[in-house]
Amino acid sequence: MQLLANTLALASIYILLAVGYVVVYRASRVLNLAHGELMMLAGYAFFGLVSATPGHPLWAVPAALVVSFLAGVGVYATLVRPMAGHPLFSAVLVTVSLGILLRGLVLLGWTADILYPLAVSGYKNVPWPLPGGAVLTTIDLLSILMAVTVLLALWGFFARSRLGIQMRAAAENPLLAAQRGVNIHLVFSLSWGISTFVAGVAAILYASKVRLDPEIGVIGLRAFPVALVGGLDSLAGVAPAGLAIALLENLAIRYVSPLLSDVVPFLALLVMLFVRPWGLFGTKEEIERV
Amino acid sequence: MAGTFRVLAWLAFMALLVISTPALAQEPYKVGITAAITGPAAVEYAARVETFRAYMSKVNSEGGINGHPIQLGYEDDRGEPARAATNAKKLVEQDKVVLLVNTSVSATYKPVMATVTEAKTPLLFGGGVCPQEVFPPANPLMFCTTSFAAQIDSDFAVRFMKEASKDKVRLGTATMDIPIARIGIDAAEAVGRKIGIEIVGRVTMPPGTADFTPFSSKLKDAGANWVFAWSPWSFEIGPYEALLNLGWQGNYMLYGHQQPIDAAYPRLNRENLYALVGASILAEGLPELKAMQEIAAKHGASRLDVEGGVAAVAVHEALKACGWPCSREKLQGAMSGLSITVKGVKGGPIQWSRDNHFRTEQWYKVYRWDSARQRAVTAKEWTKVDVAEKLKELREIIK
Amino acid sequence: MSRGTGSPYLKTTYPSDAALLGTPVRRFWLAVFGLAALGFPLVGTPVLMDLLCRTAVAVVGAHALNLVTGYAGQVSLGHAGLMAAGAFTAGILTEELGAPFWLALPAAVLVGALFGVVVGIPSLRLRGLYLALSTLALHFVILYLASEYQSGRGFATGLLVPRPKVGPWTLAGATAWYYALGGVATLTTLFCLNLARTRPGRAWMAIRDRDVAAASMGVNVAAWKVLAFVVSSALTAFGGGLWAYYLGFVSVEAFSFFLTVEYIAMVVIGGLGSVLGAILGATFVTVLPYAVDAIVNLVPVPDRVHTHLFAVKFAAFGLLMAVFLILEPRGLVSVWSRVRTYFDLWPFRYHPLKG
Repeated sequence: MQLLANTLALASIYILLAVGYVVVYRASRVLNLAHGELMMLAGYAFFGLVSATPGHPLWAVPAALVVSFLAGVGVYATLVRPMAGHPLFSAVLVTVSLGILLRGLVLLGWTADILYPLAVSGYKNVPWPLPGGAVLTTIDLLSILMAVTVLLALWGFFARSRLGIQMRAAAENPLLAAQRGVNIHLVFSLSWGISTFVAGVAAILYASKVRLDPEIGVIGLRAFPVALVGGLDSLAGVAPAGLAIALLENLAIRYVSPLLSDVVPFLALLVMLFVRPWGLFGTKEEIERV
Repeated sequence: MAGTFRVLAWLAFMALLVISTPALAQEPYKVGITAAITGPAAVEYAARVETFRAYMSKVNSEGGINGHPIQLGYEDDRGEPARAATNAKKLVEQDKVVLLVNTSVSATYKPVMATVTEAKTPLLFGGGVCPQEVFPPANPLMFCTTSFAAQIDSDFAVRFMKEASKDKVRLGTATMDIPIARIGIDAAEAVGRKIGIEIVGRVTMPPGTADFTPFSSKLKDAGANWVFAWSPWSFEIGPYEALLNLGWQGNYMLYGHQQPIDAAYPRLNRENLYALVGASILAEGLPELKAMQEIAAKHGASRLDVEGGVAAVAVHEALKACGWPCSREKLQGAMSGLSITVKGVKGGPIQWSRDNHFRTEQWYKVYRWDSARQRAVTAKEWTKVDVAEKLKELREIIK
Repeated sequence: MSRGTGSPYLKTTYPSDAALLGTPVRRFWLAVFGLAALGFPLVGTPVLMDLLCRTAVAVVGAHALNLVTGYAGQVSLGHAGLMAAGAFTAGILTEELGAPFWLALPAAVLVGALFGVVVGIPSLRLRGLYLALSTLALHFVILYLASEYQSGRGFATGLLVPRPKVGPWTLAGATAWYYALGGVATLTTLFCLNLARTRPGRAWMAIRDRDVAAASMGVNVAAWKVLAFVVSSALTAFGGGLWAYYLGFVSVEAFSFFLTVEYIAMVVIGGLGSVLGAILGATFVTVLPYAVDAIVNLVPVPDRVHTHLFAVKFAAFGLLMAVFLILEPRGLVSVWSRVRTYFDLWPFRYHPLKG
């Protein structure tokens, strides 16, 4: 039972991060290797806001998410938009450089010490016993809830809202969409904003549960195989892929060797590559494009 | 017009005076430090370097050593071996330092060692784990003041657990997957088996680990009533907090790096967290540490890290013993017989001998948190370990 | 027959088009550059010499990556792993068997070639990003093996690799290393130039541009693809071996994924698919952090905030990379060719023969 509970908790963080890769990839066909660092930035924004407004920790959550959203829009406007039409490698390297820059800025602002926003906020992360003898903490339960909410909200947004449909159109064929009056840059910057907004949710949860330091960005890389297994351009694939990889990781730690835990996602990915290179729910011709 | 010219001339003269003042002062002792000030390992090392620097500027503000100031050249290696090699070459070959200090990850040790060996410059490991080369038979050029050392820490920790618990110890171990930590945990398990402790589980966590819960629940389900962790800080405290979140009730022991454990004790407020230390922590409220903290604050260090302070005291003592003029060779000779006392911070002196540049005797203390009194209390007073004997014994056990 | 003119319009034979030193001007500047490089140790400081030695090692690795990624168009993320394979082969052979460097280095090359076959075969089925990820898997496998060896044998902080020796003579000291590594880098460059302008290079570029078209023109796509990986991996492992000998040690922690990113940055910043680009990129990425350091150090700051400067340097490095890539997404080589064209055409702005 505990194994399943752990899987759900881990999968929810993976899902929240993988959604960001997918949304950005669909919009600008760029692998955002600074996703982890953008998440870290949101964590620091949260910490800064919590410390700045003692007694009102709940206000810091939406404020940090807004900051995170704006950061995504800003990255698109300053770094990604000028790279349109240039070699993909260069665009990906720009995001790597952004990651380095963000780490430097965070070091400058907060030093490299480990921080605990939850301790500052005054809330506690308490364990809740579940049926079957498993235990999950408040933050774990919140993460699972948030992962489900975000997936449902995004699904609703893309399926029902006018803007969401425009975003799908722009993702499918930017040129045609632009000719039909879709404001491409608005749509794309919105995609980046959504991506970092969701990463902000993940950052707040992760920093509250584990810790906040300039290194937490590396978990962004761990969610990367999830996005690929699910299909880089498919939101529907994120949830099953996240669950599958989290489960495999937990099984490997428990029954095989803990050392394998960081290789397992990549092994799953390799298997997927040989069977269905475009991912669980991805589009087939996508592999030609990357 | 003439007035303006006179004013300008005066200004120029004053400027010249200001510029040339340092040149008029005594020639300095040149010390170099290569450290992980940024990069992934900065979490551990940045505060150490700041404390080190603050102590050096305190020495300089009090007139230096034998009338000569210390000139500190420091370079950031980001924990990357190639950068550390370049830093060492710059400091040793170009800046001609008499002493090189390494405060960085173990991966940077070998290239720095290669450089100092070619240039016959003494090298002090101050803040990073003590490498094999400083233990007997020691490399003549290499010294270490860091309070932790993988194998003998583990030995002491395991023996403490056996002594402190009434029931049979069922030990689980948690370690980050880096060679030095794995070697330490290997020693803990070997010693544990030898003294009749049951080893129920071991988790080795890859460096990119995001969630510690799966590892901790494995240890919990294995039935561990004690868990020992020896790693960089995030990988010691991470599994512990995950165990707490799982509702685990056993005792947890880790190496207590002063700066983070001081922050962790009041935050967690739990009584089952034991910290093995080779240097005191602030949470105990010792006046000597308070004084050290004040010095650091006065000279611009935003936080204190005791390991950085101990390394700085050692450099100060070594240069004092070297006298003036101080050559690399003379300094190496002086350091080989040096005894460094850091009152209140360490249980006994760091005594180096000809063939032992770790220290002839290592002192340990164990803390736990008293939640009623809201401060750290002693679980085991300062205890001496004879290093040469212990190493011989460990060699037997591990073989 | 008119030889020795720079404009491609006046080249009448294939040999003159493929010649490395086509014009007297080129010969002149190359000689000047060569003499400057030979004389550099007279004026170089230890840090500059060390940086150039590291650049030379990086040039070898960048050439290797450029062959497979720039020319053959196959993305590889296993570069750090392959370097580790070479470095560890050299280190282990020296440590366990006391092998001299003239045995250990070829052995490293051989191991690299074998791994090249291992990554080359998936490349027959996978493409682009997906191939890249399967090479990343190789990275993890190699580092896992190296880590097991290192912990298993008790080398907590890595293995020392002694200075290379031939008979009584030991390769030591900055100047000796400078000439040795400079020579190796020059030979590697020549090797790559020759590969690029002959049959293998043309076959690789054909595959890169369109594999189906290449196959229909009689290029054996499978064989050339695998060969690209074999040559590149062997050269990468050779670079890893040089790294181990130059820095005097090997350790798993030195070959993180970040090293791969650095090498990719080198070939991209230099300009993909250009030998000159690989050299420029390797120099740029190796030297830039130190240039940033030097510039930041010019700013006078009080002693107490000195440690914060390192965060500034770190951030400035990222910022500079990003700005450079946005302004010059096609790399240093495109800057170079623009400058050259400008002077070639002077005083005109456009080519007069173009009509």
